Order: sequence, then structure tokens, then C-alpha cells
Amino acid sequence: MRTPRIRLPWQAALALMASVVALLAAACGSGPAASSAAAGGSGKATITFAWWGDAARAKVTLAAIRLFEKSHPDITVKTEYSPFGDYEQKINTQAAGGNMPDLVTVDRSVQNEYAQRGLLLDLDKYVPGTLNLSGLDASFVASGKTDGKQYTVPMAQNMQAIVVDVTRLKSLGVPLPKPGWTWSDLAAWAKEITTRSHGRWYGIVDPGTLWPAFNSWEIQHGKSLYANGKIAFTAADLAGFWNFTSSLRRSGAGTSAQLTATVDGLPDDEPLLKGRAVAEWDYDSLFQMYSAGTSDKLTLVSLPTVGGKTGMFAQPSMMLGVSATSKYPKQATELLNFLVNSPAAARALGTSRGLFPNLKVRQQLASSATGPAKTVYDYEAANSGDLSPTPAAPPKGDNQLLTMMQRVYQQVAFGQLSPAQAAAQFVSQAKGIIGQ
Amino acid sequence: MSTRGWVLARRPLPLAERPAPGAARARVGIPTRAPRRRRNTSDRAGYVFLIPWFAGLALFTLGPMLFSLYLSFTNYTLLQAPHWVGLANFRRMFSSDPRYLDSVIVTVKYVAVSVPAKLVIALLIAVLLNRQRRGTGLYRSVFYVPSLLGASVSVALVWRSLFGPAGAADKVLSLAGIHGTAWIDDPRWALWTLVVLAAWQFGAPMVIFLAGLKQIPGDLYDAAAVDGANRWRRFWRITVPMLSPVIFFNLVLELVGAFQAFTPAYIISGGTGGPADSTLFYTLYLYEKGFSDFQFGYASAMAWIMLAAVGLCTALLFRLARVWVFYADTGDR
Repeated sequence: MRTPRIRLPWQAALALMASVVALLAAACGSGPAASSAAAGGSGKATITFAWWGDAARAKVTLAAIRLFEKSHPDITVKTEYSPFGDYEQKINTQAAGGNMPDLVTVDRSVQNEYAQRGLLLDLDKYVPGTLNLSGLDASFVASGKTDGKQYTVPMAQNMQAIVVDVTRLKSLGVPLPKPGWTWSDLAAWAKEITTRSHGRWYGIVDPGTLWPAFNSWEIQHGKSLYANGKIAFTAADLAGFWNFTSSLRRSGAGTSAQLTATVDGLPDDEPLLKGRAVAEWDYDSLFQMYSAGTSDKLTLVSLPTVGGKTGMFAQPSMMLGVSATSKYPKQATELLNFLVNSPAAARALGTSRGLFPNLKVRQQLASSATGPAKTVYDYEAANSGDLSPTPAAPPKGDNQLLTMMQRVYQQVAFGQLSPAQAAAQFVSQAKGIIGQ
Repeated sequence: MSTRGWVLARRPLPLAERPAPGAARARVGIPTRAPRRRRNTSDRAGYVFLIPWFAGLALFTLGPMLFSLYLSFTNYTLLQAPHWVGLANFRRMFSSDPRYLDSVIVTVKYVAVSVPAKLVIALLIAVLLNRQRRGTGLYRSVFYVPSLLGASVSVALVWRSLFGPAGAADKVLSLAGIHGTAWIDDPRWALWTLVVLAAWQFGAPMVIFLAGLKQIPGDLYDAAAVDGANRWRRFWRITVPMLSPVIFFNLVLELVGAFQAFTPAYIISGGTGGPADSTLFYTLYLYEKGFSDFQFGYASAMAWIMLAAVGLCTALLFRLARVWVFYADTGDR
């Protein structure tokens, strides 16, 4: 009888070492420098542009880039895109290897970190020659600055909103909420939906897992998440927010813990699109994607108020920066300029990222928009009057709090921790992350 | 005549030395001694052919491993050069990171339940399939299929929809009056759906058990039957001891594999180890620390602790094996 004794298990152990450790180190090796662009200065320049998002966003972005290449025959643009979850990992790996894409989309949560680590080029020397920022709102432009220097330019503006499924709302005979409503209005309204649909639909997706929802909550209560690069909210603030969202969940107005746990940022898994909830908290930049995912009619409603304040603000997003190691910084900046100013780019991009940066072009588009895009423009226009000032870019580690919010609130939703306990735990861990 | 000389003589000879066709048969069996020098050159050829593999091993396995050992003593964020911190990563694991200990508990639970469950099922099915019946071959293939699919992303996705909200599992169980929930989205059940997924992939150990069962001499059973031993007794007194080396082999292999489980939890929890950290496998937390939080030093330290722990478990199993594993061919226990 064959007795596979000593040898194989040890080989298996070796294989374990290999796989566990190789997994880690795989990304650490210094990759060979990209030497494809050996053509030099006189000939054609090939630059790379990277962003995150889905296939629909990629399609419109590629259309815009084709227009750019047509008007700049000496520049070829290579593109890279991936889902948001994988994007940062990819860019960080490339940055570590010294071959970050020439024009790179940077999330606001890491904007300062990238700039301070010297990964991005100071764009001031290209202003106003190559990069014209005069057509953009001044405070919007300023949001791309780190330590007073223009390292990035936001490619889009979005706003917080409650997305509502009008078709289902009508079928239940529940009226659409009016701007200026309060959180207790929301609780009653959402409860009404759950009751009238006999539990088939929840009124609203429990917003307790959402870091940006808490951000607006803090602002409307006269506070902020951060001040001077440190945490400015207290455990009591967070417990207050979570007490409210828990009351939604317990009354049946908000989604159950299990259903909330399925939310992972992919449109396919949204309770709103799966027909389990009638409303949810979100950014208006996702509205077009949501509209495409359902045959129902959707609309946007402004956030509930506290003392008349919504806590909403114009959120600059998708910061565009030029790599500090780029061989063709001027050409990359030309593409940046095209993406924030050109009417042709604006037409191609639509509202796939939010509102277009150049104000004049934005207005032209708004007047001719139809369908979901028109809903977004109308929503932004209706709310532009009473917005709170845009907070400064968050300190390093903010993206970790975003995922921690989801994780810790799940423990509240499943009854493992009380809101107060969870909030205390969150704040103590957050201090360790942000203080670093 | 030594066997070795005979075997060497059967090697094809270089053309020049090849005997005439008629003489070939006469030469077979005549002990010849291959010149020492030639054996060395053929060995060398073997090593030459192994060079690509060795290069791969050094470049993509050993090199990164050593680098990760170095990283485990640093704080490396990918954007900043590694900075030596001594044992700080290891201290943090056991003193100030509650999630680390959570992940250890989840992993140990998973290993402790899924491995025995998988092996028991594999052994039972193997015993059933060991009898000669019509269609046995078909059944063997059918039972093996889940293992072929097992590690893949697609099965984890299928699992997600089976045990997800309003999934098939929920519907079938509610017919039986069990009104559950979304199994994978409830922290009380999520880990156990992963255990079921693992146990379902019993094909590989089953095939090995089958091979082992075939090797047990039939006369042992015949003798036992003559002595009046019933089926149950024969199983425990003959099958299990005779199969113990194979059981041991499967145990070690599955244990090492279970510690490394990653894909199903990653897919089913959307990479978060949720809900509420209930499926936070060690590997998943390691991945999160490395590739979401960019704490590569800490993640490397975790990887090495994992290696040590798995090595320790394996060594322990080998120690214990002396007590219960019976090798019929060597005659000792």
C-alpha cells in the first residue's frame, strides 16, 4: 500500500509559505520602468490617464478622449480604469514603482496625502498658459490646493441627496417629500411606505453605515468631522446619529440589518434597484447610473433639515492631478485642461461624474439637458442657494474611517453593540488612525 | 546480478554504441556498468532544464518571501520607503488590535469545524462508492465535480445567491417551516454557510480515500466476517486503522488548506469580512491591512505569524500521528 507519508504535507506547507508571502510581496517588487515612450520630445507623446468607475463611465470618457486626440494629433492617450475598490491599490502600487499614470484621478480622501508625498506636480506653472482655470468657480478651484499649491483640479461637482423611486411612491399613494422637511418627517414618511406596502418595501435604506451622511449630519448640527487635520466630532455626536438611524430600523421604516449588510456600493446590490426600498441617501452623481438600472422613474430630494440647514455642500470630486514623474507633464496638463473646460468634452461626458467644472459650459448643458441628466441639473440649481461651505479636504486615513463606519454600524444593527458603545469604540479607533 | 545494473542496461544507448538489431535481445539482462561520467552529464542536463523553475522560485517565491520577512519589521505604506520598527508590528497584533484576535477566532472556528466535517463526509461517500455497483464511476465523477469548481469565484457567487436574501436556501427551508433570513448577511450564520461550502467540496479527499480503500486487502474482511465481526466492527477495526495513513495525509492537507481559505469569504462578504466581522478570516484581514489600509509591514508580520502557526499545527499533527497512524507495510505503530 502506498503511504504518502512525510513528503507531501511538508510540500504543502512550503506551498503555503509561498502563497501567503508571495501574495504580499507581489506588489512590492520594483517593476521595470515603463520605457515605451522612448520617442522623446519631437515626435508623438503617449500619455496615460487613469480613473475609477463602471463601464458606462468608461464609454463616455473614451468618447471625450477621442475628441481630444483628434484636436491634438501629436498626443496619444492610453487609458486605465477600475472599480473604486481596486483603484487606490492599483495607483499606489504604480506610484511605488515610479510609474504612476501621467494624468491620474485622485480621490478627495487621499488628495493631501498624494500631494504631500510628492507624487503630484505643482500645476501653478502651467496656469494660465496651458491650464485655464478662470472659467471655474474660485472656491471650487481652491479645493484642489494643498498647502497653497494647485496640485489637483476637481473634475466634477456633486451634491448629497435622497434618491426616491417615484413610481413606487405613487403606487402607494404616498406624496413626495418637500424640501425643508425634517428628520422626523423622514421617519414618518418612510414608515408610511413600509406600512402601506405591507412590508414589501422599506421606506429608506438605513443610512447608518454612510460616512458622508454623518458628515452632512454634523454640518447641519453646526459641527464638522475634522478641524486642523484632527477629529472634531465626539462619540456623543455619532451616537446621536446612530440612535436616529436605529430608530428608523427598529420601526421598520429603515431596512433590516441583513438587507443593509448587502449594500456594497455596486448598483446591482442596492436595495433601491432590487426593489426592496423606495429611497436612499446618495450622491447625485450616481443618479444617472441608478436611473439606467431600473425602469421606474427616480427623482432627487434634498436632505432633511435641522434648524433649516440641510448640511449639503458642493462636493468637489474626482481630483485630477499630473504625476510628478511624468515624461510629458505639459501634454498631461493639456488633457486636464480639455477635461475641465472644453464644451465638446462636457457634451461627451454628460453627468457621468457629476456637474462639469467650467460654469459657462455647465449652464449651456443644463439648458439643453433631458431625462435623468436634467433631474440632476435641476436639483443642483434648486439647492445652490443655501449650501454649506465645502469642508477642507480630509486628513490622511479618512478612507479607513469610511469602511470602519460600515463595519462598526453593522454591530449596532445586529444588536451586538448599543449606539453609545459603538460610537465610543469608533472614536477611540478613529483617533488612532487619524492621529498617525 | 543487481537490479540496478539491469535497469541501467535498458537505457537507450547512444547511436554509436547501439548493437546490431539481431544482437539486441541477447544483450538485455546482461549487467553492464554505465560509465560514471555519462550519468553526471545526464544529471546536469536535468538541472539545466530545471533552471527556469529555479529562477522562478528564487525570483517570485524566495525573494519576495525574504523581502516580506524584512518588511514585517518595518512600517511600509507603499508610498513611503520602509522604516525599521523592530517588533512593534508583532506587539501590536497581540496587544492593541482587537480585530486581529477576532480574525484568529473566526479562522480557528472555521478550521476546527470545516476540516473534520469535510473529512467525515469524504470518507463516508468514499466507503459508499467503494462497492462495485452499476454507475459507480458516474457517481464518483459527480461527487468530485464540486471540488473542481470549489475554489473558483463563480461558485462563491452562486453561494451568495443561494444563501443570500430571498435565496434558494431560504425558500426551501421556509417550506419546511424554518423561516430564516439572508444566511450570509446574518453574523450568526454567515461563517457556517462558508463551512457548508467547504464541506461540500469533499471531492479531493474522497478520491484519495477511495484509492486508499482499494489497497486494503480483501482477505482481512473475509477473515473478520468468518470470525463474526459485523459491518460496523469491520469498519472500525479494519478500515479505519488500515486507512489511517491516508486519513492523516488528508487531515494535514485539508488543515493547511483551511487556514489559507480566502476566496469564498472574500467574494461572499464583498472583501470586508462582514457582516460585523463574522467572516473575517485571517487571510482576509491580512489582505485588508495590506491592500486596503496599505500597512504592508503589519500585513507581512501577520503572514509570518500565520506561517509559524500553521507550521506548529502541522508539527503537532505529526507528533500525534505516532499514536494513531498505522503503517501496515512497515509493521510498526
